[in-house]
Amino acid sequence: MSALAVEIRAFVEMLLQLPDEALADNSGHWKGENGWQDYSDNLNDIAFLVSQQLRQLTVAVESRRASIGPKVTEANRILAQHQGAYRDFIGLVAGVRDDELDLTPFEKKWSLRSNIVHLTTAECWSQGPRVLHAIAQYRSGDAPKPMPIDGDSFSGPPNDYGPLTDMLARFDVGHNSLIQQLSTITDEELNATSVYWEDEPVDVRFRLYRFAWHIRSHTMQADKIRIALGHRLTDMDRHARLLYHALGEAEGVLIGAGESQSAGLETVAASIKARVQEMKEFTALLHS
Amino acid sequence: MQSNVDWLRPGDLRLALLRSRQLSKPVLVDFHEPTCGGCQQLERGTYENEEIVAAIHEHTVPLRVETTASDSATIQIVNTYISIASPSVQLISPTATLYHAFRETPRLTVLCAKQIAQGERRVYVEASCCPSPLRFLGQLWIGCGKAALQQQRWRCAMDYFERVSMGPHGEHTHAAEVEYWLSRATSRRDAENICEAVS
Repeated sequence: MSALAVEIRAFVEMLLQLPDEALADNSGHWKGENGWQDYSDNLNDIAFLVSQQLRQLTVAVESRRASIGPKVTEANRILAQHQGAYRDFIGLVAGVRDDELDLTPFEKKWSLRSNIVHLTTAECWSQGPRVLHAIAQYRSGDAPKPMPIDGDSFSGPPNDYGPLTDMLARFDVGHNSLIQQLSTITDEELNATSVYWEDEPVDVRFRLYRFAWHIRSHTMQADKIRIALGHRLTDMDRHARLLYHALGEAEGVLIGAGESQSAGLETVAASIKARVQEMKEFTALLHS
Repeated sequence: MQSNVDWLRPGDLRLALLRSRQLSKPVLVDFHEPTCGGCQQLERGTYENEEIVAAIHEHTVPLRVETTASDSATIQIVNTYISIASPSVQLISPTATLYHAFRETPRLTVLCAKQIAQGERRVYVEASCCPSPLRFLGQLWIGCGKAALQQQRWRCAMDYFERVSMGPHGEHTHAAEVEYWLSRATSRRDAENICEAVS
């Protein structure tokens, strides 16, 4: 997990422990910077400030890449959409309790745990390796063939037990590794043929688009489950979703950027880390 | 195909769910794909094992789906329970939701929607593997324990998980998996005990 993601997760976890009323706290604890001094009276403003820091990073990276590179490839753009969908899903399940993971409020439908296992399986165990296989064949000049079912070509399917943090951590490791590997796909390689379970082969471009489309369909399912379990959408939830959405955008433009953009990323991560510390102090004060 | 297990058939799904509710037993669904080596190994090595057959009959309502059949009941079940890389053995609840997907059983993927619409559904074997009989039994107890957890029968769930952690299946099962579910059952039982003591 990137430094940025670590800090956003910590910030969101702190937010979700607090009631909505805490957003209005204007006890003088909060202070923004870089123009936000007069726009940061309370925690609500600080949450928006953090979101904006991520969005500013997004714009800054986009601008730098446009002027000095690395060039944003078509694959980078498609994967950026996928990264957005991935973070929207993470934002949606943030705050779900472990004892809710296995509940099935709808007949014949999955639990949240089953959705997470399925997403991890589909992306990291099933579809992802097929894309890499198709690219490897294309690069070596071999004719497209299905990936052999030897069980050793990729790691085993994900575990379907453990607390939510463990489930998401496993997904995160596989997802990040896959994105890293897919980020080098060139525009030409998007046309490579991938043979899998479908009646007819598809190209790699189709498979890359499929990632985001698939995860968004399960995000809808997960949203319905949350509601059916009695989750009321709080303002803290709304902020959590905004923050993860902004994180997804920032991470999206960083795909394929290499190390050249790390300085700006570290600065923002350090700033958010300081906000997390402020949140801890504020929470301690509330509970004292 | 003759089997030592008294399998219900896809057309009996409603009956299976009814029995599941009446007997408080999960439905064990076995998706049998004839071209799948792992499925054939399961048939020979596991479903011919007397201890396992007895356990299946005592603790579940078994239902087999021959994935090559083209009747509407089979198609409906396949489309409900097989998506991408779905384990071929699953325990489901009286409301037809998934309790447990058996680890290390063959992984199956249902083929494309065009064929399904034409009633020509096919199943693709994603990974042809097979658990040893002891591992299968361990998975059965874990699945039954998860079913008991969902039914809020904490003590019963603990009994199932302890069968795995203390029995011969222990070394054949992922310890972390059993530990996790046992801790869930134990904490819920303890919480309930505290509530009862307070009230």
